[in-house]
Amino acid sequence: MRSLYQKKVKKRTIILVFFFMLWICLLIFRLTQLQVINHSRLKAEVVEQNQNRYVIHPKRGTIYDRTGNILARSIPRKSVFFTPFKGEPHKLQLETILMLKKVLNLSSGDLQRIKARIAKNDPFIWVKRKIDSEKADKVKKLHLNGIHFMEENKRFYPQGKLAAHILGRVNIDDIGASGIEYKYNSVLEGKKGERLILRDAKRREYRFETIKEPIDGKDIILTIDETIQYIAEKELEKGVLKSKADWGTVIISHPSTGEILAMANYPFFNLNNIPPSLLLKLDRNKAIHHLFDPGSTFKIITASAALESESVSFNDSFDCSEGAIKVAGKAIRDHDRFETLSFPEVIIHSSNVGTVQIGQRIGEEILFNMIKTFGFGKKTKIDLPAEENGIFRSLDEWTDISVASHSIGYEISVTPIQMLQAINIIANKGIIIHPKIVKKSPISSDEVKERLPQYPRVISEETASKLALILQGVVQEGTGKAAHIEGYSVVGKTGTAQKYDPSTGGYSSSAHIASFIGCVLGDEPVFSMIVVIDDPKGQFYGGQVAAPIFRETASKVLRYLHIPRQKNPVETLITAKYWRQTGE
Amino acid sequence: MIDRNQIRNIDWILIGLLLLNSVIGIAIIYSCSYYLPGNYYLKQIFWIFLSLVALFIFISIDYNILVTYSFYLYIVFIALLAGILFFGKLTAGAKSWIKLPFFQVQPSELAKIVVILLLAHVFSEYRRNHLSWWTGFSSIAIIFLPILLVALQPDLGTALTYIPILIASLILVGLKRRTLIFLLIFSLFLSVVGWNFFLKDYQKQRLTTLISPSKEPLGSGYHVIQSKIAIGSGGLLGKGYKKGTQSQLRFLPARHTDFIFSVIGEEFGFIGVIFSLFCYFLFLSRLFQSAIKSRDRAGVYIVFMVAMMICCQFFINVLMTIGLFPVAGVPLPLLSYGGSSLLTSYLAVALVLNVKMRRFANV
Repeated sequence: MRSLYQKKVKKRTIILVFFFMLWICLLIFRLTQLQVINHSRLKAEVVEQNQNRYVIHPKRGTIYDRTGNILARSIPRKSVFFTPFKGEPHKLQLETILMLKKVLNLSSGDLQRIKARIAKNDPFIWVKRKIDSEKADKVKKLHLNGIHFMEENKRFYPQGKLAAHILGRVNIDDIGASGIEYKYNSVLEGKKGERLILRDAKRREYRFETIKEPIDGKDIILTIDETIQYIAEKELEKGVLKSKADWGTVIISHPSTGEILAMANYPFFNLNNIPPSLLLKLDRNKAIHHLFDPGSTFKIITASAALESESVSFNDSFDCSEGAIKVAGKAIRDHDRFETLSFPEVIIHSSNVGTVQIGQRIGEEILFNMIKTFGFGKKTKIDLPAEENGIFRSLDEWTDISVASHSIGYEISVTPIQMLQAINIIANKGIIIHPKIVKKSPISSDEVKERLPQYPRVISEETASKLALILQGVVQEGTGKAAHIEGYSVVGKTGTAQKYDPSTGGYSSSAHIASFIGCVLGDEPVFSMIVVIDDPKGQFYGGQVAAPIFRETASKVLRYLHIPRQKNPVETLITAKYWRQTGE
Repeated sequence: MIDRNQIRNIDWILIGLLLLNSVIGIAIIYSCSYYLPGNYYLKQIFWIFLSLVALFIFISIDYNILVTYSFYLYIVFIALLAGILFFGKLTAGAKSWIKLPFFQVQPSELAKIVVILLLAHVFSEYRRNHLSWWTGFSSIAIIFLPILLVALQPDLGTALTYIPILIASLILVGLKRRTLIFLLIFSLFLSVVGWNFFLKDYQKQRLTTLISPSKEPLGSGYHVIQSKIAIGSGGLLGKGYKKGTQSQLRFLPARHTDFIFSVIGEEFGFIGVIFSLFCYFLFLSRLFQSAIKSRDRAGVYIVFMVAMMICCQFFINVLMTIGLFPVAGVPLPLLSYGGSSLLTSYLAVALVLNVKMRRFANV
């Protein structure tokens, strides 16, 4: 009986153990599935749960002016971001964000953006970037889950709108978007570092490890002088407002080095607070970007070609009494009625009729080559982005009227910086020195050498000094009288060009671009300047609109630079009449 | 009462396996509570010593005496369980603890021993081949009274661990086909009623998340997902002792109690899990082997019920950590941190030893 019972128990135990063995098999099968087959996926999930890699932002380089004033710098700011916990309901995540709405002043647009990101299960969402430390402390005190901070830099421009077009702006990620910030982005930005952050289940950070140290960006020193820039902007603004013009540009440079001292475009904008709607419109640096037909200022190049080719001599005279000249059936008129004018007088009084005759005497090939060697039709290679080439037609595209048009500055489009480069050639006694705006840039020395070649000569020294005399005459007694500064020798040329009207396909009779290019000469050229005013209302001649701006700006800059008055500047002046009378 | 012959018959191998698994438990508890305040592993060592002392005291008393007085013990424990419902304090959402001056115990764990003794008492008198209605009802009543009281605490996980004891006794006694059908219908009825009236929302969620844990990864699915991640990320060889990120970083909940198996999986990998499963398997098979080596029916029932109880609890726990069973809050016997569970396991094993060492006496 007992042994029978024991048998029964044994049988049942064996069945039961067999049954358990099946369970053990299931268990091992499941463990294999988890630990061998799905191992890599689950391991990845571990990494996702407790590791985060973050960028350490390097400090962006500072931009200084030539005197050591700071024009752009980076200041540390905190950025708030949100790392939603995987699988947490979206509604709950949004609630976390809503708690920050008041503190961070989140707009409905911000909330919409964050909401969309949450819906996409984005593991990293910016809430608000670059907030000040007070706000950051307030957010910290809320101790919200998944809300973290990252150290970033905010670009700050201590001078606000000063030199805004030169400096340019950076986007929210501190990448240069225009101006120097864009052009020298790779120098300024430095190298990003990387940090590993480990978190525990409550998303508390318990370990930081710097995998890669960031390398701060390098500083850049501009050739700009903050004070001269300020003067230029102030006077330009006054001038534009006075003539009710659309916009204006002033560039001041140091001819013998090509260094830009100031470059102003009106209207201005404040880099610290750019209205987004006007961003693209305001951001353009017209000084290097805008194309216009230069008009009379271009007569300098015609005169250079005439003198250099010896096609014209100083006492040659040109009959301008008709007040107009017909070229290929089209009449080119003067702005005033003249008699017979000597070669210098043609330039001094800016006679179109006379200049066209000069141009015709030079011939198209010589004129074309001179325009080309003056550097038109190609970039000046100033170290700013988005410079334009200008439009300069090749010789085989020239028509019957082209010689006449080019000699008085039509049919060709130039940028203000190209015109400034042209006046600098005269100031530098025939040598072309390209403009530059970065004084000390950590570019390799080879590149610097490449950039500053052996100063090619454009015109002879003799031609250049003759032209200087003529251009002095422009300011002394010609169209540029308004640019005259008592006690200094100023050379210059006015320009008044009819604007090209795209709607009619021809030149507008009512819209003009008034300009003046000039230079203050001493023993050495002190500085050169171009003033361009677009569509002035009322008075529209370059001599009326642009020349006074030149004078006001130049006299203030001279005072700032402590340039003493020259003892007898008039001494050097030989008037146009003198040449005509003496026949020399 | 205890003679030399009996001491010679003490199953030292079983005690060795019992201690082996307990030591594994201590090692894991040490690892996963390393960064926690409170020396959990020291407390566990203390409990092991205490339980060991209790074990030796327990085997010195003839199990027949225990079986004889089991009804009175049962009454005492029922009174305790009932009293706790009225006078106990809520701890972690349940009234299941009796606070003593130095430690606290869960009578719901210890009551299992008493239930085993009482059922052995009932069935030892019973010599028919099939279960009679009366015996069937009384055995069900014996087991469901404490289940009800424990479920009311509410501690459904512990209540669940009573059921294997009943199943074990029914397997041994043998069931007629219609009794089996009746029990099936009854348990079906009970589960329907239980789902609608007794299960709390979180418990229902645990059942549903078993089917799709990722549906609610922060709610009831969190335990399972984290446990699976921990085990899976351990891979073949594991991350090394005390180096499990999921357990050390507190991603894994209840890692030193209910989810201690996940820690083994994470830190020692597949190899470590297989090793610990093997150790446990040796222990369990030693228990089942003991079932046929008792001199009377009461002994057979006791050993079989103890083996079944520990075995089922082990399976429930492990299946829970690998996502094949709802998160029921059942500790892994011997390995999980917790004095009452440990003491109960030791006393249960003591009963087996008790039966085994006296198998040649009084024949």
